[in-house]
Amino acid sequence: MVRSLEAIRGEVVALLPRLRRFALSLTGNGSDADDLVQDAVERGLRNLHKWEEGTRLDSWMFRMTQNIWIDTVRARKVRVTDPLDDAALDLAGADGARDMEARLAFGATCDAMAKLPEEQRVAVALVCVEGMSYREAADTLDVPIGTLTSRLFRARAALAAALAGEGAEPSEVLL
Amino acid sequence: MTISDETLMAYLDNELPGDERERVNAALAADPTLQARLKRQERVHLMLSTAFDPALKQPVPARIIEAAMTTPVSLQTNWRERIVGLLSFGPGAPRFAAAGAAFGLVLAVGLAFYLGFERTPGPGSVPFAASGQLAQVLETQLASDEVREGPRVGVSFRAGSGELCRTFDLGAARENFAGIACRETSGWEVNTYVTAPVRSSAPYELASAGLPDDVRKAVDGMIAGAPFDAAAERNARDGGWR
Repeated sequence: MVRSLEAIRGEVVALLPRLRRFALSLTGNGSDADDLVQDAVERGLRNLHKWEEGTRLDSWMFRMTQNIWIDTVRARKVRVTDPLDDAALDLAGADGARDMEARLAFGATCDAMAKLPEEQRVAVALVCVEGMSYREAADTLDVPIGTLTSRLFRARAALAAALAGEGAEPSEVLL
Repeated sequence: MTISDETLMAYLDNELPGDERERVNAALAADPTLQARLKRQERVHLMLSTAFDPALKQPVPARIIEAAMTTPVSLQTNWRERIVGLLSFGPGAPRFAAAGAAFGLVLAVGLAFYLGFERTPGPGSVPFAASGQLAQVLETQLASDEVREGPRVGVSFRAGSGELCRTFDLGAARENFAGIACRETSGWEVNTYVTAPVRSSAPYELASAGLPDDVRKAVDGMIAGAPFDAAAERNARDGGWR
C-alpha cells in the first residue's frame, strides 16, 4: 500500500532517536550529531523521489546520514571533535554522576572511533552501534557484504587495540 | 581446530550459519584461550553497543522534529498522483479512518516528542493525551486571545458524543500541523491531527488560512449543533470544559 506523506513524515520522526545515536557515534559530538541529523532529514525529504518505494525508509535515512557525514568530513577535512566537550557530555551523561562510568566509556569509545578511517567508522556504527545485520548494513552503504565485513573486521581490531589500553601486548589484541 | 578472529566476530554478531556456530561453540567449550579471545571481542562489542545509547533517551530537539514535519517533500510524478488520490477521499470515506492507525501512531509519537507529552500511545491507540504546553493552551486559552507563538486554539464545540472539543494548531511557524482535542475527565485527548508541507503549490497542501480542510471535515463529522461563540466558549472554560 502506498504510504501517505503524513505516514512518511511520521516514520522519519519515529526514526529520529536512532538517527541521533548513529550520528553521535560518527561525530562524537552532540551538537554536530544534531546538525547532521537535521541535514539528513531535510535532504532525505527533499530527495524522496530518489527513494524507491517499497524499500526500507530507515535504510534510506541512514544512508543519507552517512553520505552527508562522509561528504562533510572530506570537504572540511574535519575529524571527530573532542568527545569530552560539553555537548557530548550532556548527551552521554543524562543521569548525572551515577553515569560516570558510562561517560568514561563514551569518551574512550569516541576517542577510539575518532581514529578510524571514515568508512570503517560507518561500518562499526551501523553494525555495532545500530545493530544492523551485515546484509542490512551492506545494503545501506551500497557495498558488497565482503567489503562491509572487511571494514568491520579491521575497525574492530583497531578498536580492540585502542580500548585494551597501552599495556596490552599486540598479541593480546585482535590480529 | 582453528577459529579465526573473523569467525569470532561473526559469531558475536550472530551472523554465523547454524552448523558453523555449533563448531565455534564446541571449540569454545574445549579451549580457554579461545574463550579469552572471545571475551576481549565481547568487551569491545559491549562498549560499542552501549556507549551511545543515552542518545536514545534524550528528547529530540524541536528543530529536528520540525524539519521532519515541514521540509517540502520531493515526489515522483506517480507518487504525487497517488498521494493526491489518497487525500481526496469521496463522501462517506472519512480520511482519518482510511489513513489508519499505523501512521497515526508514529505521528502521535512524533507529536509526543515535540510537545513533551507524558505518555505515548500504545499500538493501535491513535488518540493520545496532551500534556505540557498544548494541554495548558487547550485548558485556558480563548480563541480571541492574541497568540504570537506556540499552540493556539481555533473552534470550540460540543461533539455528538457529549465531550467538549477544540481545534488547535501549533503556531505560525508550524501552521501545517493542526488537530482536534476533546476534554475527557482525565484531561485533553488529541484524536485528530494532520500535517502537510508549509510551502507548496501542490494540491495536497492544506488551506493556508483558518482550519485545514481535513480538520474542518473532521469537525463537521463530530459536532452537535453550532460551534461556540465567544460567550459560550468562555462559559465552557470557566465551567471546566464539562
